[in-house]
Amino acid sequence: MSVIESVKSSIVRLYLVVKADLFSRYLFFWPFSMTVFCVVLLLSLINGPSIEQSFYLSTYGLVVNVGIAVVASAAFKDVYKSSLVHDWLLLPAATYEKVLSRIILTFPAFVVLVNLIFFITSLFSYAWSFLLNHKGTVIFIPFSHDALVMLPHLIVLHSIFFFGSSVFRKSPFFKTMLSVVVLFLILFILGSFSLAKILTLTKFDTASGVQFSFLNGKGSTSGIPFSFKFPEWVDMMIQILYYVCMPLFFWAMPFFRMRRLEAQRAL
Amino acid sequence: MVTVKDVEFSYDSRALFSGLNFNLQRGSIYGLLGRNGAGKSTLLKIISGMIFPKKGSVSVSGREPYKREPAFLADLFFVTEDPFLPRMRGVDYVSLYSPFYAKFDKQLFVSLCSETGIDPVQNLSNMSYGMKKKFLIAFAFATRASVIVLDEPTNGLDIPSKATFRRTLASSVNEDQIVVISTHQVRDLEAMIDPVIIIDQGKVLMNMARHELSEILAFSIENEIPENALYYEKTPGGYAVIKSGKGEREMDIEVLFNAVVSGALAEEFDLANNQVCECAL
Repeated sequence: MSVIESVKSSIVRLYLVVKADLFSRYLFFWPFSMTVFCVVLLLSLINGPSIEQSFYLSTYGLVVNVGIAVVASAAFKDVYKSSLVHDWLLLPAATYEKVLSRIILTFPAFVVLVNLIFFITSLFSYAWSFLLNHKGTVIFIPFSHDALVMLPHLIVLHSIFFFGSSVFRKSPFFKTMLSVVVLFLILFILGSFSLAKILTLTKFDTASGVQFSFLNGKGSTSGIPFSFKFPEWVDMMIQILYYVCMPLFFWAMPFFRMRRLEAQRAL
Repeated sequence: MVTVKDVEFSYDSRALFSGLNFNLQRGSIYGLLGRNGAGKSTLLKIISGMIFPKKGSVSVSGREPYKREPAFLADLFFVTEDPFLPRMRGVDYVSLYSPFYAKFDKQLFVSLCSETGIDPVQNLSNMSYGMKKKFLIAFAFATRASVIVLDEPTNGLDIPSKATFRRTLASSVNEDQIVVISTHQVRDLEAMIDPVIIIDQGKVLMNMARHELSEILAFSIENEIPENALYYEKTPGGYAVIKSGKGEREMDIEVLFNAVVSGALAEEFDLANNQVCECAL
């Protein structure tokens, strides 16, 4: 089989896996959509015609952030169940196609779904308000700039919980949360020690106005009499590491883990 | 063809197989027999690539199962003892999963469903255990996969369904296929399975076709235990006896299994194997 034919058949199989996964494992998307629709509609009706775009954006942010973490945490739930693992292992598709299908369903598909739910809800709210008050409300614009701004953070969030789902057999959501908190604590302690070391070595008692460029001016500078700025390339490197390398790493790791998965490990 | 060579496998510290060797040829329905915990299901999982042997190699139609390549998985279907089916109608399951199997025969699936009394329009989650199993067995044969693995297929089937299953098995399997059936209920499939593989204590004790067995073993029911009996056991009508020599009576696989596992036929098999080796030379 030539490379082109192989890629073609892989794309066809990926489509089949996504379809099979959607209708056999992600049926909860429908009750989830209905629930979010009802809750957001109810809240928008309570707020009345004076509702602002910020209401939709803040609710959208909450739903999409919590939703992605929960949905990504359950991405490999079936793989760690003895009754379901056979289906995963024996489905005639490559492991990367199966993992990719879960990424597609728990990230882009989920984000599109939430955007659509909010758009439809805002239309209903508009129609309801127009009928009652002859005045419409604001409409949530899907994939607007304000909604897209969240995307890089969502990518990182998804990748972390997706990885957690492949690592933890039981309660992956809580275990991933705990791991992230512990990791941040360790980083915080290490960072504090490093900072203390830098401050000691650079004789701060005679300088003023410390600024760390990666904090974008949010860092506290009071009482520290020294100016410190990371070079721009360091900022860039940190951003690439955080928004590109980390998600790629966390998305790739489940593939290797699933490739070595055996039926007995799920038992 | 399935080739298992020098396979070693253990669950943690408990060794299950050591130096396991056998071949399975196309066009046969193999019966895999063994005591509880002998490793029948494990062996089927190793052949299917669901678990990996610690040592040795397994080859199925020239492919290594542990790689779980799509082409390999599309040419093998495994019906587990306790199968899971998603919450959807049978027809939807077929439309979602049949495209994965290039040789899927929809007509065969429909005819097998009607033979076994399965309504594919019914929701799979509303089906009983036996009906789910019949549905999956029909799906398995309709895939036309080269290797079909059935783990305890007659468990949960009612009496008419067992007869239908036997008919299905006889009519659906072609010369290019290998069917491996692991079962405790040998009486259900006695007439169908040929050759018979018996595993015990991590080894294949026997892997022989029925005609080969009937050349060296004679089965009979006797009132007294004959002196030349290789093996006997008490039955309601007297003694079920196995003697050396050509048999005329129908083989009793349950008695054969007991005899093989007890070690009573070890000499006979050694002799038969030596004869095969001499012929080969």
